[in-house]
Amino acid sequence: MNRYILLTLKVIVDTGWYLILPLMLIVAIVIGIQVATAGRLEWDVPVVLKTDHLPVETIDAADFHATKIVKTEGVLKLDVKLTPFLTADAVLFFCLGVSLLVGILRNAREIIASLQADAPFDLANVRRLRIIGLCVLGNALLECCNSLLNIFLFNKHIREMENMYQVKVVFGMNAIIVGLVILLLSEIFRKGAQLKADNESFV
Amino acid sequence: MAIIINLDVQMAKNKISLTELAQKVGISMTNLSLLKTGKVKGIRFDTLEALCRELKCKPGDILDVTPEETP
Repeated sequence: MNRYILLTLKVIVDTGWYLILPLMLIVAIVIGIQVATAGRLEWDVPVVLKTDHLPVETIDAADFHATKIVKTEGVLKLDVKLTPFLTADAVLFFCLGVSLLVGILRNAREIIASLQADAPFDLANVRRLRIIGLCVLGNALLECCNSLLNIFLFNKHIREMENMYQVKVVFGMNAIIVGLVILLLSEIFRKGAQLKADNESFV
Repeated sequence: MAIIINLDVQMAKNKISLTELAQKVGISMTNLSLLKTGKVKGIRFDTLEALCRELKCKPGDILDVTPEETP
Protein backbone atom coordinates (compact mmCIF):
# COMPACT_ATOMS: atom_id res chain seq x y z
CA MET A 1 0.00 0.00 0.00
CA ASN A 2 2.77 2.38 0.99
CA ARG A 3 4.58 1.64 -2.27
CA TYR A 4 1.49 2.58 -4.30
CA ILE A 5 1.07 5.88 -2.45
CA LEU A 6 4.73 6.66 -3.13
CA LEU A 7 4.35 5.71 -6.78
CA THR A 8 1.26 7.91 -7.13
CA LEU A 9 3.08 10.84 -5.53
CA LYS A 10 6.03 10.30 -7.84
CA VAL A 11 3.78 10.27 -10.92
CA ILE A 12 2.02 13.48 -9.80
CA VAL A 13 5.24 15.34 -9.00
CA ASP A 14 7.02 14.10 -12.14
CA THR A 15 4.02 15.16 -14.23
CA GLY A 16 4.31 18.61 -12.70
CA TRP A 17 8.04 18.67 -13.34
CA TYR A 18 7.99 17.42 -16.94
CA LEU A 19 4.69 18.98 -18.14
CA ILE A 20 3.88 22.13 -16.20
CA LEU A 21 7.34 23.66 -16.41
CA PRO A 22 7.66 23.32 -20.22
CA LEU A 23 4.07 24.60 -20.41
CA MET A 24 5.10 27.67 -18.40
CA LEU A 25 7.95 28.21 -20.83
CA ILE A 26 5.56 28.02 -23.80
CA VAL A 27 3.18 30.46 -22.06
CA ALA A 28 6.09 32.82 -21.42
CA ILE A 29 7.14 32.66 -25.09
CA VAL A 30 3.57 33.21 -26.36
CA ILE A 31 3.03 36.16 -24.02
CA GLY A 32 6.46 37.53 -24.94
CA ILE A 33 5.60 37.42 -28.66
CA GLN A 34 2.20 39.02 -27.98
CA VAL A 35 3.80 41.81 -25.97
CA ALA A 36 6.55 42.36 -28.54
CA THR A 37 4.15 42.54 -31.50
CA ALA A 38 1.06 44.24 -30.04
CA GLY A 39 2.51 45.98 -26.98
CA ARG A 40 -0.61 44.96 -25.07
CA LEU A 41 -1.36 42.26 -22.57
CA GLU A 42 -4.52 40.65 -21.27
CA TRP A 43 -4.47 41.25 -17.54
CA ASP A 44 -6.57 39.25 -15.11
CA VAL A 45 -7.82 41.18 -12.11
CA PRO A 46 -9.72 39.18 -9.47
CA VAL A 47 -12.80 41.13 -8.41
CA VAL A 48 -15.54 40.78 -5.85
CA LEU A 49 -18.98 41.42 -7.31
CA LYS A 50 -21.58 43.33 -5.37
CA THR A 51 -24.53 41.02 -4.94
CA ASP A 52 -27.17 43.41 -3.59
CA HIS A 53 -28.91 43.63 -6.96
CA LEU A 54 -28.88 39.88 -7.62
CA PRO A 55 -32.28 38.22 -7.23
CA VAL A 56 -32.63 35.22 -4.96
CA GLU A 57 -35.24 32.68 -5.84
CA THR A 58 -37.25 31.67 -2.84
CA ILE A 59 -37.39 27.95 -2.38
CA ASP A 60 -40.40 26.68 -0.52
CA ALA A 61 -39.22 23.95 1.75
CA ALA A 62 -39.98 23.04 5.29
CA ASP A 63 -36.38 22.93 6.44
CA PHE A 64 -34.71 25.78 4.57
CA HIS A 65 -35.23 28.76 2.33
CA ALA A 66 -32.79 30.99 0.42
CA THR A 67 -32.29 34.46 1.89
CA LYS A 68 -29.54 36.24 -0.07
CA ILE A 69 -26.29 35.89 -2.02
CA VAL A 70 -23.50 37.47 -0.03
CA LYS A 71 -20.30 36.94 -2.01
CA THR A 72 -19.54 36.41 -5.68
CA GLU A 73 -16.09 36.44 -7.17
CA GLY A 74 -14.98 36.90 -10.73
CA VAL A 75 -12.07 37.83 -12.94
CA LEU A 76 -12.04 41.16 -14.75
CA LYS A 77 -10.19 40.86 -18.06
CA LEU A 78 -8.34 44.02 -18.94
CA ASP A 79 -6.61 44.72 -22.22
CA VAL A 80 -3.64 46.70 -20.95
CA LYS A 81 -1.23 48.82 -22.95
CA LEU A 82 2.09 47.96 -21.40
CA THR A 83 4.26 50.62 -19.81
CA PRO A 84 7.80 49.82 -18.58
CA PHE A 85 6.41 49.60 -15.02
CA LEU A 86 3.62 47.21 -15.98
CA THR A 87 6.04 45.09 -18.04
CA ALA A 88 8.44 44.88 -15.11
CA ASP A 89 5.52 44.01 -12.80
CA ALA A 90 4.28 41.23 -15.10
CA VAL A 91 7.76 39.76 -15.69
CA LEU A 92 8.69 39.93 -12.00
CA PHE A 93 5.52 38.25 -10.74
CA PHE A 94 5.60 35.61 -13.47
CA CYS A 95 9.27 34.77 -12.80
CA LEU A 96 8.76 34.69 -9.04
CA GLY A 97 5.70 32.44 -9.40
CA VAL A 98 7.55 30.00 -11.68
CA SER A 99 10.61 30.04 -9.38
CA LEU A 100 8.48 29.13 -6.37
CA LEU A 101 6.82 26.34 -8.36
CA VAL A 102 10.23 25.03 -9.47
CA GLY A 103 11.41 25.18 -5.86
CA ILE A 104 8.45 23.12 -4.67
CA LEU A 105 8.62 20.52 -7.45
CA ARG A 106 12.42 20.10 -7.38
CA ASN A 107 12.52 19.55 -3.62
CA ALA A 108 9.46 17.29 -3.70
CA ARG A 109 11.17 15.11 -6.34
CA GLU A 110 14.29 14.87 -4.18
CA ILE A 111 12.23 13.92 -1.12
CA ILE A 112 10.45 11.20 -3.10
CA ALA A 113 13.82 9.91 -4.35
CA SER A 114 15.05 9.70 -0.75
CA LEU A 115 11.86 7.87 0.23
CA GLN A 116 12.45 5.37 -2.57
CA ALA A 117 16.01 4.92 -1.32
CA ASP A 118 14.47 4.15 2.11
CA ALA A 119 16.32 7.03 3.77
CA PRO A 120 13.71 9.70 4.53
CA PHE A 121 15.03 10.86 7.90
CA ASP A 122 17.90 12.84 6.57
CA LEU A 123 18.90 16.41 7.38
CA ALA A 124 18.80 17.16 3.64
CA ASN A 125 15.07 16.35 3.71
CA VAL A 126 14.57 18.76 6.60
CA ARG A 127 16.12 21.48 4.46
CA ARG A 128 14.00 20.46 1.44
CA LEU A 129 10.78 20.52 3.47
CA ARG A 130 11.69 23.95 4.84
CA ILE A 131 12.24 25.22 1.30
CA ILE A 132 8.88 23.78 0.19
CA GLY A 133 7.12 25.35 3.18
CA LEU A 134 8.74 28.71 2.52
CA CYS A 135 7.86 28.47 -1.20
CA VAL A 136 4.19 27.79 -0.33
CA LEU A 137 4.16 30.74 2.09
CA GLY A 138 6.00 32.82 -0.51
CA ASN A 139 3.35 31.96 -3.09
CA ALA A 140 0.59 33.15 -0.73
CA LEU A 141 2.53 36.36 -0.11
CA LEU A 142 3.11 36.81 -3.84
CA GLU A 143 -0.61 36.49 -4.61
CA CYS A 144 -1.43 38.98 -1.87
CA CYS A 145 1.19 41.46 -3.15
CA ASN A 146 -0.07 41.00 -6.71
CA SER A 147 -3.65 41.77 -5.71
CA LEU A 148 -2.54 44.82 -3.69
CA LEU A 149 -0.59 46.03 -6.71
CA ASN A 150 -3.68 45.47 -8.87
CA ILE A 151 -5.62 47.72 -6.50
CA PHE A 152 -2.88 50.34 -6.72
CA LEU A 153 -2.75 50.12 -10.51
CA PHE A 154 -6.36 49.68 -11.56
CA ASN A 155 -8.75 50.59 -8.77
CA LYS A 156 -8.75 54.28 -9.66
CA HIS A 157 -9.68 53.44 -13.26
CA ILE A 158 -12.60 51.22 -12.34
CA ARG A 159 -13.87 53.30 -9.46
CA GLU A 160 -16.94 54.29 -11.46
CA MET A 161 -18.00 50.67 -11.29
CA GLU A 162 -17.58 50.52 -7.52
CA ASN A 163 -21.26 49.76 -6.98
CA MET A 164 -20.88 46.69 -9.26
CA TYR A 165 -17.51 45.23 -8.27
CA GLN A 166 -14.27 45.93 -6.43
CA VAL A 167 -10.72 44.66 -6.96
CA LYS A 168 -10.28 41.71 -4.64
CA VAL A 169 -7.50 41.42 -2.08
CA VAL A 170 -6.30 37.82 -2.39
CA PHE A 171 -5.25 36.47 0.99
CA GLY A 172 -4.40 32.78 0.67
CA MET A 173 -5.24 31.62 4.17
CA ASN A 174 -5.27 27.97 3.05
CA ALA A 175 -1.80 28.29 1.51
CA ILE A 176 -0.52 29.91 4.69
CA ILE A 177 -1.89 27.03 6.79
CA VAL A 178 -0.41 24.44 4.39
CA GLY A 179 2.95 26.26 4.45
CA LEU A 180 2.97 26.32 8.26
CA VAL A 181 2.06 22.62 8.42
CA ILE A 182 4.95 21.81 6.04
CA LEU A 183 7.35 23.83 8.23
CA LEU A 184 6.04 21.89 11.24
CA LEU A 185 6.64 18.63 9.36
CA SER A 186 10.20 19.72 8.64
CA GLU A 187 10.77 20.07 12.39
CA ILE A 188 9.33 16.57 12.93
CA PHE A 189 11.74 15.28 10.26
CA ARG A 190 14.62 17.06 12.05
CA LYS A 191 13.70 15.24 15.26
CA GLY A 192 13.45 11.98 13.27
CA ALA A 193 16.91 12.55 11.78
CA GLN A 194 18.31 13.14 15.28
CA LEU A 195 16.69 9.96 16.59
CA LYS A 196 18.04 8.02 13.63
CA ALA A 197 21.55 9.34 14.25
CA ASP A 198 21.24 8.40 17.95
CA ASN A 199 20.00 4.93 17.07
CA GLU A 200 22.81 4.39 14.59
CA SER A 201 25.41 5.37 17.17
CA PHE A 202 24.31 2.47 19.40
CA VAL A 203 25.96 -0.92 18.85
CA MET B 1 32.02 11.09 34.85
CA ALA B 2 33.30 9.35 31.72
CA ILE B 3 32.76 5.79 30.58
CA ILE B 4 35.94 3.91 29.64
CA ILE B 5 35.74 0.84 27.40
CA ASN B 6 38.31 -1.80 28.20
CA LEU B 7 37.42 -4.06 25.31
CA ASP B 8 41.01 -4.20 24.01
CA VAL B 9 42.24 -5.44 27.42
CA GLN B 10 39.69 -8.25 27.51
CA MET B 11 40.43 -9.14 23.86
CA ALA B 12 44.13 -9.35 24.65
CA LYS B 13 43.42 -11.54 27.70
CA ASN B 14 41.34 -13.91 25.57
CA LYS B 15 43.77 -13.66 22.62
CA ILE B 16 40.95 -12.98 20.18
CA SER B 17 41.07 -10.75 17.13
CA LEU B 18 38.56 -8.02 16.22
CA THR B 19 37.35 -9.98 13.18
CA GLU B 20 36.84 -13.17 15.14
CA LEU B 21 35.02 -11.42 18.01
CA ALA B 22 32.79 -9.53 15.57
CA GLN B 23 31.79 -12.81 13.91
CA LYS B 24 31.11 -14.53 17.25
CA VAL B 25 29.12 -11.61 18.70
CA GLY B 26 27.22 -11.05 15.47
CA ILE B 27 27.94 -7.36 14.88
CA SER B 28 29.88 -5.70 12.09
CA MET B 29 33.61 -5.17 12.41
CA THR B 30 33.07 -1.45 11.88
CA ASN B 31 30.70 -1.24 14.85
CA LEU B 32 32.99 -3.33 17.04
CA SER B 33 35.93 -1.12 16.08
CA LEU B 34 33.88 1.99 16.95
CA LEU B 35 32.95 0.40 20.28
CA LYS B 36 36.57 -0.49 21.00
CA THR B 37 37.71 3.07 20.36
CA GLY B 38 34.83 4.51 22.41
CA LYS B 39 33.26 6.32 19.46
CA VAL B 40 29.70 5.16 20.14
CA LYS B 41 26.97 6.75 22.20
CA GLY B 42 25.76 3.53 23.75
CA ILE B 43 25.75 -0.25 23.80
CA ARG B 44 22.71 -2.51 23.71
CA PHE B 45 22.25 -5.05 26.51
CA ASP B 46 22.22 -7.96 24.05
CA THR B 47 25.54 -6.79 22.52
CA LEU B 48 27.06 -6.46 26.00
CA GLU B 49 25.75 -9.88 26.95
CA ALA B 50 27.25 -11.46 23.82
CA LEU B 51 30.60 -9.73 24.42
CA CYS B 52 30.67 -10.95 28.05
CA ARG B 53 29.82 -14.47 26.92
CA GLU B 54 32.55 -14.58 24.27
CA LEU B 55 35.19 -12.84 26.42
CA LYS B 56 34.19 -14.79 29.57
CA CYS B 57 33.96 -11.67 31.70
CA LYS B 58 31.47 -9.39 33.44
CA PRO B 59 30.12 -6.06 32.12
CA GLY B 60 32.30 -4.25 34.68
CA ASP B 61 35.40 -5.77 33.08
CA ILE B 62 34.50 -4.16 29.73
CA LEU B 63 33.03 -0.89 31.00
CA ASP B 64 34.60 1.34 33.60
CA VAL B 65 33.91 4.82 34.84
CA THR B 66 36.35 7.59 35.67
CA PRO B 67 35.75 11.09 37.03
CA GLU B 68 36.09 13.69 34.27
CA GLU B 69 39.10 15.93 34.53
CA THR B 70 38.19 19.57 35.16
CA PRO B 71 40.00 21.99 32.83
